Amino acid sequence: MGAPLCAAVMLAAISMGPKPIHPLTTLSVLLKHATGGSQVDVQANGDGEQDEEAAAGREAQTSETIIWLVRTPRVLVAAFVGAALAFAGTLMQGLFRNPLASPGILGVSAGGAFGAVVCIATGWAVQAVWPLPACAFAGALTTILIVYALASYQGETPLATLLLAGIAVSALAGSATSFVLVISARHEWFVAKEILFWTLGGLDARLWQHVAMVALPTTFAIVASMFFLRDLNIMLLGEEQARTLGVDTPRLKLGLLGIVSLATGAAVGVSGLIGFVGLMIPHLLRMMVGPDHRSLVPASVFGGAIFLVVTDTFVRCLGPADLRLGIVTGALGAPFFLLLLIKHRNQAIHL
Amino acid sequence: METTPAISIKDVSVRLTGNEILRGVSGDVPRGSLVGLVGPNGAGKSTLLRAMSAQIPLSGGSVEVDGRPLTQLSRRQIARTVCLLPQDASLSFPFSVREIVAMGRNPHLGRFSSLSKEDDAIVNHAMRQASVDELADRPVTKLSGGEKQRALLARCLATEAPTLLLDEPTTSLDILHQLEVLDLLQQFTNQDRTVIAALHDLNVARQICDYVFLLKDGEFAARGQAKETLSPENLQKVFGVQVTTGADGNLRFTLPLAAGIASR
Amino acid sequence: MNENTAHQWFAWTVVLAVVIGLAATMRYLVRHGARLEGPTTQVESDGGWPRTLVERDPDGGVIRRQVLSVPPKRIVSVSLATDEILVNLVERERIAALSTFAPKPGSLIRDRVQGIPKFVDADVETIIALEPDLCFLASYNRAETRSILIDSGVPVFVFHRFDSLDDIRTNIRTVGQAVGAEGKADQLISQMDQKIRRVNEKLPPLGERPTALAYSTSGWVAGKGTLQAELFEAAGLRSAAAEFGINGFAKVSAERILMMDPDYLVIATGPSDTEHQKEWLSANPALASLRAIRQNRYLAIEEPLLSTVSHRMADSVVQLARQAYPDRFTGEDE
Repeated sequence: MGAPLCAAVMLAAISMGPKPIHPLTTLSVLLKHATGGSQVDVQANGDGEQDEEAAAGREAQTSETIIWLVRTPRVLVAAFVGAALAFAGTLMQGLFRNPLASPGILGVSAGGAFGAVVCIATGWAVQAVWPLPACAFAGALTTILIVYALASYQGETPLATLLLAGIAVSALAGSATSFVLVISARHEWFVAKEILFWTLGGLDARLWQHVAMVALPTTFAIVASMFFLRDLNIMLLGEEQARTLGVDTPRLKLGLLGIVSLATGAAVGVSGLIGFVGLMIPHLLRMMVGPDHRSLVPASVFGGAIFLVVTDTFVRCLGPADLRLGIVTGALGAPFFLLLLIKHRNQAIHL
Repeated sequence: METTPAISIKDVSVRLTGNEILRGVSGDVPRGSLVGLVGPNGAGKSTLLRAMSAQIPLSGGSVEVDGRPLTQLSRRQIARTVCLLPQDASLSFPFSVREIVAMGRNPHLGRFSSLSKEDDAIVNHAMRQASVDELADRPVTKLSGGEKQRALLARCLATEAPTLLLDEPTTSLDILHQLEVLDLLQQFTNQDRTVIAALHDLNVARQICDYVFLLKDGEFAARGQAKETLSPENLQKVFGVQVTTGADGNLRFTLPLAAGIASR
Repeated sequence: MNENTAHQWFAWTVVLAVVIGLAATMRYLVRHGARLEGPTTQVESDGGWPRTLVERDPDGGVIRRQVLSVPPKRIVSVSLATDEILVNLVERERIAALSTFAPKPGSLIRDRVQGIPKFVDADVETIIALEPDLCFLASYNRAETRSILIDSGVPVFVFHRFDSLDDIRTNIRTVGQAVGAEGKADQLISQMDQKIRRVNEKLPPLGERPTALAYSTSGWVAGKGTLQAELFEAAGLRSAAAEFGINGFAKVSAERILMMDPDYLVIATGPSDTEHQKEWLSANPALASLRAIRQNRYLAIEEPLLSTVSHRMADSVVQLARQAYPDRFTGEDE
């Protein structure tokens, strides 16, 4: 039920942009490529033709290039990143039994940011396309390993300890990242600018490689999570009750943390830091769909995808050039919390 | 004849945050019996129940269920054998009563399987036994304390675990439901299932328990048949109060008289 | 107990390893500075067409070749540096777009951009929509932008940073080759060199040259190895920051400025005028004791000229030199 809506939103998004392109044109280009027409037909430079037919041909080619090489990868990345973050947020909110948890509370995003920023600062990021996402991903996974190792003791990993370890590591990664930013500014202003813009989140110039880099881990994570969803429902009632009902809580935590890190690391790698999606979407959808994760997780996946595609399209088409995606999602967090506040003013909040 | 006790605790010690809560307690719980754990607050009743269901690690000794040590069983196996109903279980997410009770089938379900017709039948039966079938579709967040307690009891029944460990099961219930639950527990034991309940109401203990373990400061001050164990001398020792006991037909009661160390 | 201490040791080891790793990374970065070793483009040409753009990585290895069959006539430039060069090398009609900086007050060519159809930033879709046949990108633009443009068949020219006068010469020459204006490019270069040489002839010996420091409200100063240091040198000024030991750009405290105590303060005028800058500097009690402030020794230069990285650098040299050595540059008209 969320899937066709998502597909429709994505199609609309791909049709929108600075250069006006008709949705039917979009559809035909997508179908052509989906059914095997792989390369964009490239005309050699400067054949010198001046007549109208050639001009129309070039215009069609330009439209095709824009749709297939510029917009479609970007919209797909937006969808997967939104899905990954909302998905990760849902699992974290379930694991910590707190509807205000987010994917980044254990430091995964902060560690990923640090990895990415070091990559940009050493210049590796400018040489090829893959180093930056790879470093971010490596940073994210390293961080969760450190946090998990610090918080585990005698086969148990208490949630409160995890949280503390996550906060500590987050803080460390955050100051390290700021330090790298300052050092870069000293030597090379453009590097500092790139770092700053990356940390504010953005989806400019996403390639098909980025689509693969986020789609594969995210899909794997979502499928793997199916394994744990019933147990996660039970975990909502507390670890003791979960154990009483036969849930292997250490294995559940390990599995969930691994899945969350996979999805969050992949998302951060291709989009920078985009906040609030992982918090707002699951929170909202839980109020509509209920706490059963077997229906909440799919809802979050599509909800997150649609949300980020819409937001990114807005940023792409209507926003000024310097409006970063992370800024917009952050700005949307404010009214969200205000609405929550108003709604709960007369009721107790069930945390 | 010697049948394996439902639960057998051997020299169990538990240390939590540096304090010794249980100091080498031992005892056997025969199958099909209703055992009361009685003692003042802080004596270690809840801790003992938790130890019996592998919720907390032991610092000494061992617990065996149906003759097998807990440490050798997987979480699922333990869940199919004993079910712990704690005093203060939180139910803060709006699952329906039915969904909560259905969670009791978890130890029996495969990784991806959903509830079968049989499971549904067991769930319905459990809800009926605990008198929450009328509330089946209501979100648990909207239940009263007593209704929540009964829903959780239904969940324990749904696990089909042959041994129930209950921590103050009648505390927040009104009188009607108290009697219903006690009745249910007795039926339970009549079907050769075992119940171990931490109780603070001495009258209830006297009335329904076959055996009583009297707990004070982490040790068994006395244990044995309910009537003898709940003697005024023992109660004096354990609770520091003078009591008088009496009977009215089948009903036996114990009333506190006065605080004090006067022993007679 | 034993397990507890073992776990503590493990946890502290992990923390230590992380801290050491971080410290090592930081040290590396501080030492080598952030770098921008991106690819650069050279042109292979036999004088005629077609000619080939060769993109090389920092070690010199060839990444790709793109062929220009005819002189490009829909050129897009995304940074001010190439804007300034292009406007002097090719006819207006061959330029499809310049950077968004070109028409702004901070640009040296703001008066010469009439007729340019569009101004762009590095947004890929906008660039592709212009159907360019040559696109100038900076080495620091994203690899992804480069990648999409190349995949869509647009020849991409990546120019390296401008860190020295030699860099400027190389870039002008290569741009000239790419657009088919080698003659004009050589002309630009020789004009630039001529101006600088004429200034150089009039300069006093090294020992008699004053020190100068460009310091503004931003707080940044440029030290050794920057283009600004070379600018000063060509204008006959010693870079106070470089002599103080600063490499690259740095934000320095007023204390350090006092220690440098340059003979001249270079102020960049622009949206904020000269007097405003002077006021700001003298209003700072910490700096009030600088000789340059007390003796009112300022060198004023238009902001776009101070930060230009094209052949216009020669004009910056002239402006500074004329103010620093008024006796030596009387009555000249450059």
